Amino acid sequence: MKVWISEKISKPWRENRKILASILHLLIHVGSLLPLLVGLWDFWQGNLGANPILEVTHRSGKTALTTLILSLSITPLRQLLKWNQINKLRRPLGLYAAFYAGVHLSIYVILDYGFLWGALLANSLTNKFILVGSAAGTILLVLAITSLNLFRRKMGASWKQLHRFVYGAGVLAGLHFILAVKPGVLRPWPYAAILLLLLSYRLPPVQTWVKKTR
Amino acid sequence: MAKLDYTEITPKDKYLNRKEFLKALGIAGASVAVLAACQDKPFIAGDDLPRQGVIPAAPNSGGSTEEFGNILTAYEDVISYNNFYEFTTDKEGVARLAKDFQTSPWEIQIGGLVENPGPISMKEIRNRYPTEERVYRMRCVEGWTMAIPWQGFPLSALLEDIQPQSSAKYIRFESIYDPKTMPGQSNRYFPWPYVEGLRLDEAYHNLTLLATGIYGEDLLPQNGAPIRLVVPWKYGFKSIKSIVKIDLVEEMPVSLWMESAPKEYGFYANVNPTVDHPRWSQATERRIGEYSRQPTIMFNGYKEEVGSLYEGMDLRENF
Repeated sequence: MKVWISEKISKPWRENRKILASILHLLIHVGSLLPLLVGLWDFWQGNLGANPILEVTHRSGKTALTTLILSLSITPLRQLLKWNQINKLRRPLGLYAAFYAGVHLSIYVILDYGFLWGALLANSLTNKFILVGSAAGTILLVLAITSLNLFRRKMGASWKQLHRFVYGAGVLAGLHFILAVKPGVLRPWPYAAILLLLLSYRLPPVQTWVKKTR
Repeated sequence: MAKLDYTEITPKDKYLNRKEFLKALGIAGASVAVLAACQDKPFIAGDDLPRQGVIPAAPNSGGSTEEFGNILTAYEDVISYNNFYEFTTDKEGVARLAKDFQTSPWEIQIGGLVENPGPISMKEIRNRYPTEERVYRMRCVEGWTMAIPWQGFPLSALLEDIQPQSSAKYIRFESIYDPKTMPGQSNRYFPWPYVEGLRLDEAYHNLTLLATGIYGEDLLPQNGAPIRLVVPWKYGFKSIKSIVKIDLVEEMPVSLWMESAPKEYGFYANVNPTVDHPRWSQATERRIGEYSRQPTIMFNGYKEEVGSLYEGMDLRENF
């Protein structure tokens, strides 16, 4: 590992990784806004199929989960590739995850249930996946608000601890997807597998190994 | 039966679109015309309910609704939004994967506790059992619903010919198993083939249909061609598709869903807003083609017709 990083790709890598990080930064903004624009376009054009509300619910949920997964993959990439410049991509990705989680929740409350609070409450009580999803969404919302520099400065060391809750949001978001589909439906599992991999990376033994090889 | 509080008016542009569509198919007036004639008893026994859908509409009067006055689901939605896990679990991907599915020749093996076992071909079925049109609501366990004009014949007509023996208590259906043409059957989580069953009195009920068409057209593969069951007061998954085997049996059949997820899917699967699925509420539903949710009604609105089948039963226990 050490050899691979320091010898094989080291020279062009060292020269280009800064510019690559900037390109990636731009791509993240474009790629994260695209699902919103495509969704609005398809809504306008009537391209959302027979059950448009369910379709946009699924799309916003998957985009939230994807951006959350990407935000969780920044630290491993930074450490393994010694690519410190990509650290600044973590915040926009996390904010997009919180944004799409908010869109996902708004679609559910406003478009799907039309503010039928009684039905929404009944759902929250009977549906485990609603509870789990709400918990994930709440964490992302809190983290999005406290991502402001103001909070970061004020909170000091506890800021970092608070933002570790993003791992919890990852677990809950994956679980939310798994619980929402019928057994035997495999759609959530690729997401769950990647999440598991990214979260395992944070386990102390793995971290010890990573630090040793650097 | 409780009075429904949601016979709201369908947006006019949508309504006109669908009317135009029906006209194009050339069945605008005829679509519900057979409805009243085909029933031994009316859809609705209560006199206080709106009946405009039950009474045959004059041609071009735009009366293509079910008996509660709700507009029929657009044909393109019925043929493009399907749960048919034999092909894929993606509802909007079924039609494409099922496009070349061969439904001819086709025969159903009749067996078990019957006097007249043996194969019966689709040709024989078409000759022997004249079809009639019936407009039924179809409520999916996932919380969406359609109103579909089916062509079919009562399952009881077939039962009278095959003659169940007195020891038969249930009827068991099996779908086709052909993983070469049905890619979803390579998902080993499910114990293929698809199996469903009914109690014999449910099977003999006049609402229980063997359908061969919708909207005046032969069934397309994604809708369960060439022949499927339609049991409108039960969740859609009970209405097994592409049937190749029918057996009369003494023991309650174990359906594919009962075997896959016994805590979530029971044998009866009657539409019931008061008994939730373990992971989601069944209190509301959305009609395909509309945005707002509606309350789900007991037995999908067929309580007058089928309620007596379940008298004295604990429907929470027998879900």
